[in-house]
Amino acid sequence: MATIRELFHEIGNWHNKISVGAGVTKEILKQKSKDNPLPQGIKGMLIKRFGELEQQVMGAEKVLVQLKDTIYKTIDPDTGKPRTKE
Amino acid sequence: MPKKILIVDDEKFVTDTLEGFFRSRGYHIFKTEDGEAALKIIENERLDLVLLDIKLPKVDGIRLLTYLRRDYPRTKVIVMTAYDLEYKQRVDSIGYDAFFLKPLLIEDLTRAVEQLLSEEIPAIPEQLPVAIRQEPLHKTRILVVSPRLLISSLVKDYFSNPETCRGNYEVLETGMAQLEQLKKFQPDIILMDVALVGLLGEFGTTLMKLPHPPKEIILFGDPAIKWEEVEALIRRGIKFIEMPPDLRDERYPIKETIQRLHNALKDACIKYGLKGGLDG
Repeated sequence: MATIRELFHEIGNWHNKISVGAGVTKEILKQKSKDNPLPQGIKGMLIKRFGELEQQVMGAEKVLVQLKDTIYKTIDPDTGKPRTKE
Repeated sequence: MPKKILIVDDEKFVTDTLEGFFRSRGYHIFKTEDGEAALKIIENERLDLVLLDIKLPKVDGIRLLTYLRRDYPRTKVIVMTAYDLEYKQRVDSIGYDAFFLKPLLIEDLTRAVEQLLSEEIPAIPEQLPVAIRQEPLHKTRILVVSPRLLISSLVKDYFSNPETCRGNYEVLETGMAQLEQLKKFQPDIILMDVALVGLLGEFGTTLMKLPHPPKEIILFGDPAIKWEEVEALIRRGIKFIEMPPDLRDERYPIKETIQRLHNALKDACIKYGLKGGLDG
């Protein structure tokens, strides 16, 4: 069974994949639409939406990091056991 | 000839997506999802830049980074990793050209890649500042400039501690981003991490403009990093304290290095009549 650390890492990986996918699509849209113009309204909307998607995934990751810090303080992420007070 | 970039990340989606993107921008791209294959590509290709994830199967990114810094100092490295303080401290102590936390913003990553690949070795001023100030003895002011927080804070702690240095030093640690502090602090001596030597041209120009320029700059760090630039500076009389990594356990001998820095500082203090030269 995966450890808590591995599970958090896995969620972070999904966030990164969404961010890379959205970011690259947005940049390619900007780049390619110079050669093959899209209707201005559609191009603008797509770029804006992909940009928002990138920002939203950053927001999700920020919350994930806070959650991770809180959990790691009380639970050992590698063993899943509560941390003992020294 | 197109610049060569290696993308190393354990997620195939990421390597595939970044490969297509950077290829469309005119770069020659290599990609792999494991550290062992990355090693072979590094050895066989003269790479200009590596986009390096840290958590990798077979050979991890920390080892790859150490290897790149030691044997391929001219290859630029951008580290991209998930939030983990332990990793950050380890990669800081090895050195890199840029660092990104995941999730990545492609615009920022693209800007960093383009900037690093367009960088020329900056011109270094023909003359670095020399002593022009004659003042009564005050605590010798030392500025520690390093991108590696762990190393700079260890150096600061050592020289700020009256037990180790008899209270003769006043120390400020900084990254390149806080150069404004220079003007207020007016350091007598600068201890500069060799990982930042590429910026010394710009840094030296800033120093020359200060009303009281520092008397000496002492470089420290892994000699494998930026060796050609360091060698040119040594020829111009800049002191360099080596901190070669111990290859058996890939750690830097920080204690020995600090001791050697202390000796170099004492020499400089005696030379310029500063208070630090009087300690034992």
